[in-house]
Amino acid sequence: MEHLCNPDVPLEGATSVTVAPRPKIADPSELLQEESAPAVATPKRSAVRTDVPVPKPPFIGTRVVEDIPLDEIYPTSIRSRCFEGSGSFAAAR
Amino acid sequence: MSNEEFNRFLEEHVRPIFERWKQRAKEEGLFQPKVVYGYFWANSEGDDLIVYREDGETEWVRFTFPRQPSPPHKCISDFFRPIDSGERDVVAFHLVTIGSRVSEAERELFAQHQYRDYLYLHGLGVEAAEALAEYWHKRIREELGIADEDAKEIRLLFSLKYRGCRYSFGYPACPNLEDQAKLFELLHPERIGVTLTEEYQLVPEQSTSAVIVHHPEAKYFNIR
Repeated sequence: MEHLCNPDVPLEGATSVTVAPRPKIADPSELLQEESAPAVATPKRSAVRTDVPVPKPPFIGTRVVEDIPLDEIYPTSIRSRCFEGSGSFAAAR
Repeated sequence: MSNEEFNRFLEEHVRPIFERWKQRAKEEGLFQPKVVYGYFWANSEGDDLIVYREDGETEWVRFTFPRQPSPPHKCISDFFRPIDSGERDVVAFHLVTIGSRVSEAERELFAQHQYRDYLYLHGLGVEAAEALAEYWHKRIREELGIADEDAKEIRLLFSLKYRGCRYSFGYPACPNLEDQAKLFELLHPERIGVTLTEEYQLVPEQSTSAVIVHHPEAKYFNIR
């Protein structure tokens, strides 16, 4: 086991190989230079429509809702999400 | 495994587990669905979404969203009327939770080395929170009068077959988790027992929040 701790102890059965020296890079900074992307001016906004009628909110401000029956949320989606979504049995298939 | 075989496997082996845990969570009151939500006057200014106080005049909170550097250069703020239009738009926010009891139940299962049950309950809990978010988003569309564009099949509601979009912080179009703090300023989710850690994570974990956009062109997108 000593060879695992002491690199000077020869490893029994090991063969010595000579490795060619790595080629020198003339200017290492050349490798770091990325191709510069062509300059594209980003517009102030996209072409999304600005004339969509604004819906009328039922109120302005916040509300807390605590009486949500579990059955209201159970059947809508847990089934498909647990069965077919990521991390589901389908994903592990 | 063919689709038919896999469906049979689901029905025979997976459904009983699913039904058992749903029933158990119900009987033991492990899920306590709660929602805090609200509607606010809003405008866009460049990449910013400005949210106003109830008077519709005083700026309250300002979110800055990333814009796609390449076409079509989308940004969430674009889905709202620009401030120079002179007209206020409407934005909704919600935060939903299924409460902390499920986390306690999970910890007990883990401590008892019941790891498989722990994972089943954890999976069901996280998905229940996500289902609640989807359910409440639907309610918001109904309240805004835009639910007539909803897909008739529930399955399709999960592939955005409805008008608008529900963006959660930490995802590509609105990556800044720090924005949770602004959402807390608007909604005060402490009222339903949800708090924010220093790393902007929701506690309890089985909670999720979102900015809800009514614009028909609002869909999920990446920033690139």
